[in-house]
Amino acid sequence: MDMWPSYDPADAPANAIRQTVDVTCSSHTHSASTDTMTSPEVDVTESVGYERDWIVIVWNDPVNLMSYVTYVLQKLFGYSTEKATELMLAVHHEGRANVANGNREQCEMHVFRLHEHGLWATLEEGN
Amino acid sequence: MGLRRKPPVQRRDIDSWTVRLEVDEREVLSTVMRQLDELIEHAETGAELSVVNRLFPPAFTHHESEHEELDLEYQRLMREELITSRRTAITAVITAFETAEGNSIEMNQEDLTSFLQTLNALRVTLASALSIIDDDSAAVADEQSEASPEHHLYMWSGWMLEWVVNALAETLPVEGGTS
Repeated sequence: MDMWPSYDPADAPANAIRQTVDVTCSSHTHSASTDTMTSPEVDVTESVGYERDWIVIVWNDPVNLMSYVTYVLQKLFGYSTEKATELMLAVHHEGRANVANGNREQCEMHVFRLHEHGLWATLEEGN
Repeated sequence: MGLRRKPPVQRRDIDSWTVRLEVDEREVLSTVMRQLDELIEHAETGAELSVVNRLFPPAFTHHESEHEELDLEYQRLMREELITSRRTAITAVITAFETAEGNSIEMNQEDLTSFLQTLNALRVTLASALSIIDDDSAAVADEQSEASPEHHLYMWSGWMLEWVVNALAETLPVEGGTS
């Protein structure tokens, strides 16, 4: 995860992007990675009382900002700043964090929302 | 006495923010966002362009072959919806840019969220193009921010994204309060 770009705004964003940019410029391959945040749209702590055997994992990546990941976790799952920060740091330091659980359908929807926000998230069967 | 720059994202009222971008900045961003939209559209047709693959990660951790099958089924059902979501966000941002007055663009929360998601998608795509695959290569990219227009844009988009995150974080529910 990217702590924070060392970009200097004093140079003015205009100077940084006035040049011609082509996002298709490269044929390099990529390697995945991600993170997320939210507002309480989903109650993950009180979700399902059945088939609670899948977990949602957010994986570390070098691109998403730490603040962005924290925000997405707050927004999507309604976590407090403290909890979302704790999860974000787990992603950053341990490479992954379990951010939600539930039945498969619920977890697939969580993963979809995380992917919408550009985070690298997967679901897998819990122990 | 130095001039104080106005913040690039500033809240006006409960559902209105001003995003400040100069005309040429908007033109460059619009061009790049249209390129991104085209890449995503091609992804819709099944063309596997590696530069946008990170926007469509696997949904299942592949511990077993069974999970690969589940993932194929998930992608069959959800990939198109994800593509539509991304393209809708890009269109919303370009439309908002077209309503700009001077250097100011007024955005509601939905527009600003679209801007957030599009900036991040752009950053993820640029990272692929720049071969930023781990913390070491990310650090190298930081050091090479002057190296190319793509590096510039990668760094700038992170800077702007931070402003947008801070602005939208103000809309999250107040913790431990009823206000």
